[in-house]
Amino acid sequence: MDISLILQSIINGILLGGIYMMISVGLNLIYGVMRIINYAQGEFLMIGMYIAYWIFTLFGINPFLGIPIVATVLYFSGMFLFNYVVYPILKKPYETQIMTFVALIYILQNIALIIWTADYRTVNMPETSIPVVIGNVYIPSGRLIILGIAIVISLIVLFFLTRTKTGLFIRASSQNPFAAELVGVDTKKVRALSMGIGIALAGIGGCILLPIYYCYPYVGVKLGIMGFIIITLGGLGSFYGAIIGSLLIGLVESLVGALYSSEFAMAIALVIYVTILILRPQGLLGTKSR
Amino acid sequence: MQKIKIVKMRFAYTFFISLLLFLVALPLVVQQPYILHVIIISMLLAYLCTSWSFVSGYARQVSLGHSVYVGIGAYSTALLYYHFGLNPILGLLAGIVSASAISILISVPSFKLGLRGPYYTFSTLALAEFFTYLFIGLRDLTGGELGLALPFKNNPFYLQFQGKIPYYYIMLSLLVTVIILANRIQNSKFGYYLFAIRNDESAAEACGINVFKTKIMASLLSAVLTSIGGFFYAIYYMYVTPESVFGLSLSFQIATTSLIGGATSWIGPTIGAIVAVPILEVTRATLGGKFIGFPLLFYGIVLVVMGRYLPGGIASRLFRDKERVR
Amino acid sequence: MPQRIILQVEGITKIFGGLRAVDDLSFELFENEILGLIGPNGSGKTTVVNIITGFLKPESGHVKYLGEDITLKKTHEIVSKGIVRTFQIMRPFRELTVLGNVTLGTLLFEKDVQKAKDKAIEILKKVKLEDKKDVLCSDLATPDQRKLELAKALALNPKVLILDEVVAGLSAQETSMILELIKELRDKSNISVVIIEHVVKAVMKIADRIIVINAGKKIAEGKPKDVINDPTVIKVYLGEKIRS
Repeated sequence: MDISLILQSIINGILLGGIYMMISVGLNLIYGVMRIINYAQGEFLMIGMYIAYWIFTLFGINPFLGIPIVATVLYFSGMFLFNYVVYPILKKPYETQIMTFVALIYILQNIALIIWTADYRTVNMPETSIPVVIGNVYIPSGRLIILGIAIVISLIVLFFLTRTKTGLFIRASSQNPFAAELVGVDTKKVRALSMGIGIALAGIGGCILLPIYYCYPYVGVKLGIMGFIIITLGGLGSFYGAIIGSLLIGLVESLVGALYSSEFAMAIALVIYVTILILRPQGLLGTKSR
Repeated sequence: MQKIKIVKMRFAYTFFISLLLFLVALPLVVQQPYILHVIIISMLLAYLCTSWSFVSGYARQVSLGHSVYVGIGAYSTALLYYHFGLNPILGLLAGIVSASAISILISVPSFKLGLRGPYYTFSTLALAEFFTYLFIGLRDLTGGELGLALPFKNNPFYLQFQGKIPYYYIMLSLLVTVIILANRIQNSKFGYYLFAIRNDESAAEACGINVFKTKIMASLLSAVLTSIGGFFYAIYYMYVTPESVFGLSLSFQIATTSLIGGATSWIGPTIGAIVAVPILEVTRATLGGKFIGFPLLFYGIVLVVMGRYLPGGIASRLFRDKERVR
Repeated sequence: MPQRIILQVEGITKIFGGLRAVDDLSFELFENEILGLIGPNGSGKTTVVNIITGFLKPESGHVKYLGEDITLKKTHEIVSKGIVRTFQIMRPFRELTVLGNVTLGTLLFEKDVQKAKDKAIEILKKVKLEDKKDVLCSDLATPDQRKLELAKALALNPKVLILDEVVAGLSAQETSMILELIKELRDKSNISVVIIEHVVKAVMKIADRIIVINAGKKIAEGKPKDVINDPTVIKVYLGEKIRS
């Protein structure tokens, strides 16, 4: 077994983990504050990817530089969606909430299909292939940049949640919405904010994925599902759990994919999921009552 | 007030009988294969949706991966016939056994005390995707993404018929059976227990209901019935691919159609299918290439609007049940 | 003739995080008695109920019913053995009618739905709620919801009935009516009752014995007159009028 292949896979795995982080931290944020699962999270990543593609193709703006644009667009979309689509169904039955998010999947996928067709689209950024060489291992610089961005953004989110007033409100609302209201937290605004951030994160994930993958209307499906597996693994509602879960799943997927096949990787992810469910259902860092 | 309620409930039975008579008589009058085909797939979807509603509607354990059981039923039938020439009925039985096993495998850990709704829902989603990938990967066995085309020998003993009519009546019998089953369940102890679980699991437990066992039974029942739907898919289409039977789009279709019609009603899912399939199918056929995407986009918008204004589905407006809010 | 012990709680302790919600608590429930369990808010009363009925497992201690250890049994098993509780925050099945709710209870012992419904109607008559049988629970007023909780509990054929704050928020007249009902149940149906309240007056009227708990510990036990004169109890309820 080739050491450099394994090292490459590990690097790729951590990188994949970085992208998964964007999806799952966002998912977690939305779940933590509203106790609902955004089944369309992968689709928002897809939209982010398309936006990044077009600003690159039309204006030559590099996807990494395009992150603020994508994030902003999706942030406001998220708030809009919260006010007009999600807020009205928050008190409705569980299955209605599911139906609404599945509906978003239909809507987003088909908007993309109609506007941009099902063709695969890629961007060519030759500068990202310039490898960084560590010993025997060649790492395309683009991938390192992606990983770096994912880490930086996760740190920003962490900082925001733990050190700012708004972040405190978000954490209070997710722990006890009733009590938070009592002390004057505007939970509706907090929820809108969380939705905006959660979706923006998915969009950023799409941005940073674009240089190394291809974009098409259904690119978000598998990524979204991995997101659910990850947040369950990490513990529903746990920020650190999402980070750790993302890295773990990224690594497993990459290693198994390199050693066997990508289909097998998906199967292993599922086995992990079921095992966690049986042995420690609250996930690695979740609490029992969550 | 009282009278109006009773009239509306009786309306449900009248509706069902009329629908039944209509469906029985239709092929005597209309013979175009395309129309019969649309009705057959409507009935298949209605069947799958009704089966789904037992666990996801009555008990509120929402499955977003029910296509797993469709695929199990379809592939059991297809594989045993394709590789060993076995009669589809044996495939049907194999499918039922496999579906039961998978259902228990996924529901036992998901329904452990303390785990909430999303766990089961994710598990079902992940399971459906797993099987899709698995069956794509096992190329030698299943033909990979391109699937298996089952050889047609026009042998009625193998449930292979010329023309659509025999398939039509097979599907109609299955549908009628499952609708009657749904009605019987709603008026049985099992049905009451499912609704209690749907409303409040802890309070149900406090009524002496073994919540865990009841949920497992609902999941099992639903899985088995759904796999029979998969069996029909295989014998009707004679062509099975992983994406078409295990894919998430089928799972989502089943879930959303049932909810449109009303997943707590014995006739609701059928209404959902009657509404959804002809519209989607017809718009797809007429609009074709240039307008691809519009039907489902419209469908998604309808779902959002319905979720907000009519969460109980069409049946909740059309038929008022004396005993239950929809 | 010495009375039979129906329910025995032995040294149960329940810890939440760092908090001892119940601390080495023991008591007995005798056959056919009405036992009052009182204490200030947060003293652990509902936790005790949750432990007895299987919703929670204690860190240590045992609960014995007719000699059988039921500490680790699941709630639905405990219910089918005859220990039934009502909920402090009422939990009717909102999508069902009053009749539907009670039928869920009678279905435990009667498989036939129609017969179960008939039995449910009989029970609704006992609590004087049969005229509202087709009303949806979301439309019921509070006193009627309380009666419904009671009816649901009765439907389950209890030998031990644990009533958690069943008269909270009711007017004096409504309270007396429920208390009369409870007494009648004990007298006519041979049920043993544990009545939990933080409002002492109500319990004083019907309890044969009272147990007082505070911060998870038992601080007094005995006949109502003796308990309310106990200085420790008075201190705990300082500021509240407990002499009626």
